[in-house]
Amino acid sequence: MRLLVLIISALILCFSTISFAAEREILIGLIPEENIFRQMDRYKPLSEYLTFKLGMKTRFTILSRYGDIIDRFVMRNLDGAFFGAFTSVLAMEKLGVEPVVRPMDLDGTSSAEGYIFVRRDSNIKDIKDMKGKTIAFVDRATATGYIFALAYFKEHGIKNPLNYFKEYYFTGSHDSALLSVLDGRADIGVAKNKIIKERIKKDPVMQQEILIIARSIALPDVTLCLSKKIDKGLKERIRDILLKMDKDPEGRKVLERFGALRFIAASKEDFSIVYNLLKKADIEIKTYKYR
Amino acid sequence: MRQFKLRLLILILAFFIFFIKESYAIEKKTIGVILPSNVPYYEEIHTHFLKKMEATILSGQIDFLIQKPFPDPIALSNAARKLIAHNVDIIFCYGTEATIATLNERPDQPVIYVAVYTPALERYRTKNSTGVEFKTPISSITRYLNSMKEIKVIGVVYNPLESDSLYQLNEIMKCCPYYKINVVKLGIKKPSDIKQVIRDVSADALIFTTSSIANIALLDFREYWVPVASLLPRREAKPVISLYPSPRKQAEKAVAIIQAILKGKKPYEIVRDSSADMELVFAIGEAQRLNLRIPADLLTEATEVIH
Repeated sequence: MRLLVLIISALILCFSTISFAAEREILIGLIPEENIFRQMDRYKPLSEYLTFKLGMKTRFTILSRYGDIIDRFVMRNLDGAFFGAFTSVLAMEKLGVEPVVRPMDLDGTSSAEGYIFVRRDSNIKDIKDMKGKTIAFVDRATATGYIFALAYFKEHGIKNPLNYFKEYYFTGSHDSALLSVLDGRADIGVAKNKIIKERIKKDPVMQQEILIIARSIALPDVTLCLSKKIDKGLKERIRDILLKMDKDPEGRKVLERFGALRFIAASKEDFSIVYNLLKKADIEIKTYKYR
Repeated sequence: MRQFKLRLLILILAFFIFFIKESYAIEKKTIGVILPSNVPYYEEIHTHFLKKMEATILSGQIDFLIQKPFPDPIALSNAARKLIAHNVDIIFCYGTEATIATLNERPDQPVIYVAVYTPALERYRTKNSTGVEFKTPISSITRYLNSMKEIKVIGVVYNPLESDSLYQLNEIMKCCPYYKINVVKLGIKKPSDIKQVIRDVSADALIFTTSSIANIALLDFREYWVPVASLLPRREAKPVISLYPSPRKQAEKAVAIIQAILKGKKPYEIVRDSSADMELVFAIGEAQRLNLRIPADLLTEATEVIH
């Protein structure tokens, strides 16, 4: 009788584990760094590839805005997210996430720069000409779309950068900061170089119209960070699948659509440069109001 | 005692000098205004301007003398002459053509202007003029039209007598080849010309330049069969896209300049304001009527979406 109970219990346990495994899905967040429709187009094949390779449904979800990223990560019980340079640091500090991989772009780089730019016909040539103008940042929680500019202005002797401008606002995405300047809705824009370059490639008129006034040092680009709740084995599998994608013909197709050569390994040490930038911008990560 | 008297005398003198200086600075001034008639955009700026002026403590220090000429070069010049003859302290002009007409009449006349298209003013600038300017990014409007439908031919509504309009036509002609778009010039000298010039034209879209005549004409022909983009606002006509300098902000900037003048500054001491203040408006209902879909990523860029 005892044996029968044991067998039944084992079966129930086994069945429940199988059904749990079948239902388990990986949910990964995406920072809204570019137009969300274009971003979803890029990431969809990657989610399908991971689903197939992991044997586990993998979904990507775009987080509504940079400032909400940490709250959303917790609220939606995310397993990981593709974070930007600053949000990676923020998530490491606040959530204990671990950087796993980051894509290497078609130009062979895996870093991004921030640009401060204006319209070429704006008569703004340097920081002095920017006084009293309107500036469009991306979000308080972006290194390339805000924090680097803050550090730049402070390094150039402007103690209260936000008071230096007549008006400032946050566009929510890098391409929107670019369009704000092109349309004349802002005099100065701050955004990530890759998004600007990508738009310029498709529209050469933009190239003639935009003048880069300053650029940041190279910062780690979008990085997949995984939650500490994911077990080590699964983390290793995800890392392994992504790092080997370029060796797999199917993976190469996905990478092509994603706009990357391959994925490379990422580590906490990659972000020391971001910590330095925060120091220059007088930002204390624990108390910084990024919302 | 002698020392006390001396101090008292110095104090009285200082007070007297200060008082004279202050009363001189807030001396009542007459501002002549040239507001081209029936141009809705200028009227909207003027409404904001008056409201903002009323709210300032200096509003009682001004007499306005308003001229509302028809927006053609002769009428605008006549208006400027009348105000100069009236010996006004400053002439405040709405739009590029009124400003150019006034500066041509008398280059030493203090002139403050608003809603002036920067490239058209370059060769008319004088030491005694300053104001609020803008530069419409022509490529943006072309790019946005092109993202709604494939455009091979664009008709540009302009007035050959208005220099801002001519500059914009040239800008459009420079930019369109990059997008493989041909340009058809649709010149109008009076609003009623619009019906005739667009009747036989075969264009995929129309762009109305900042010409006052084009702004009036925009409403004269309501049922456009192609998308219309306008470089000045005209809500009743509902252009599918409008990209224009904010009338409220133009007015606010103009008030700031007038206030500085009233406080004693000279026009040459005030830097002209050309800071960005564009508004991007989409008329979604008009797009639907024309079976066009405004891409969602474009809508997110809009300052305003109207039905």
